[in-house]
Amino acid sequence: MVLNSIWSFQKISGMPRVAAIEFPMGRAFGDVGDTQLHRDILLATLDVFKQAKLPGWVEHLPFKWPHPVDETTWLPDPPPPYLEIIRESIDDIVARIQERSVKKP
Amino acid sequence: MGNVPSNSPDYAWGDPPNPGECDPYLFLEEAIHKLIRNNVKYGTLVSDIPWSNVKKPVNESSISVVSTAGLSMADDEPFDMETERKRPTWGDPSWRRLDRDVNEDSVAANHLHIETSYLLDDLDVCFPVPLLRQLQRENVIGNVAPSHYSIMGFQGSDLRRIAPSCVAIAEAMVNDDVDLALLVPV
Repeated sequence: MVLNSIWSFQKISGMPRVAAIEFPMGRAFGDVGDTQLHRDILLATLDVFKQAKLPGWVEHLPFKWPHPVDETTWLPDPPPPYLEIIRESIDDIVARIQERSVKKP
Repeated sequence: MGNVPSNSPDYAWGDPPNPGECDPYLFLEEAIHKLIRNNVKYGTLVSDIPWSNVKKPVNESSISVVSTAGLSMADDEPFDMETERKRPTWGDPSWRRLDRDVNEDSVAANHLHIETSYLLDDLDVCFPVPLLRQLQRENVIGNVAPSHYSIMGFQGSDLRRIAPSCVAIAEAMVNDDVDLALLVPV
C-alpha cells in the first residue's frame, strides 16, 4: 500500500494499491501535532487493504489539508540542488520527454 | 470510492482531477509540477501490476512502514547528502533499518528535498510508527513489525541503482513475517 499525494505516478509505476491524499509532500498524515487527523488518515489508509479488489486500485481519501495552499511549504531552505537545474532547463526537459514519447512504437 | 484508473487514452490521470479525485499537483513548485506532469502525461501506462492477496485482517496483521524521507536511527550512518550537493543529479541509493521503538529523539533525517523539521517534531506526520504502536495497544492492528525502513527518495537519473535496496528491504520483511507494508513517499 502506498499513501501518496502524487498518485498520478500510478500510470507509469504500477503500484498495487494506492491511497491518494491531497496533502503536501512530507506530511501525508497531517500537520505537526494533529494527532486525531493522523489517526483518521492512518485508519483510512489501512482500510484500503480491505477495499482494494484489483491490482492498481486507487482510493482517493476525502481529507482536506487544513491550511491555505499558498501558505503551505514543503521544500527546504535552501531548495534541493537539482531544482536550480530543473528551473533553468525545464522547457528542454519537457521537449525531450515529449520527443521520447513520439519515438516509442 | 476507489477503483482501477481507466486505461482509456482520454483518462486525465489527475490533470485535471475528476470529481472525487485528489489533485496530485496542488502543492508542487512550478518546475517540479511541469516535470512530473509531463512524465506522467507522456509516459507509458504500466498494466502488469504486481499483487498479493491480503491474508489476514488488519487487527491480526504485522505492519511495517517504508519511508523515502532519508531516515536513519540517530546512531546509524546517515544518508549521503554531501555527494548530492556536489552532483545534484545523484541520490544515495542505500537503505536503513529503523527500530520498532523509533521516536523523534532517536531518528535522524537526511534529505535535501523536503523540509525535515516537521517529521523531527512529530514523526507521525509521515512515518507513523509511534501511532502504530498506539493502535497495537488498542488491538486495532495485530502488531508493529520489529523493523521499519527508509530509503532516500531522490534517486536522480538512474533508478536501477535503488533496486538492490528494494530487494533487501522486501527480503527483510519476509524474514520478519510482515503481513502488510505501508509505503509513504515524501
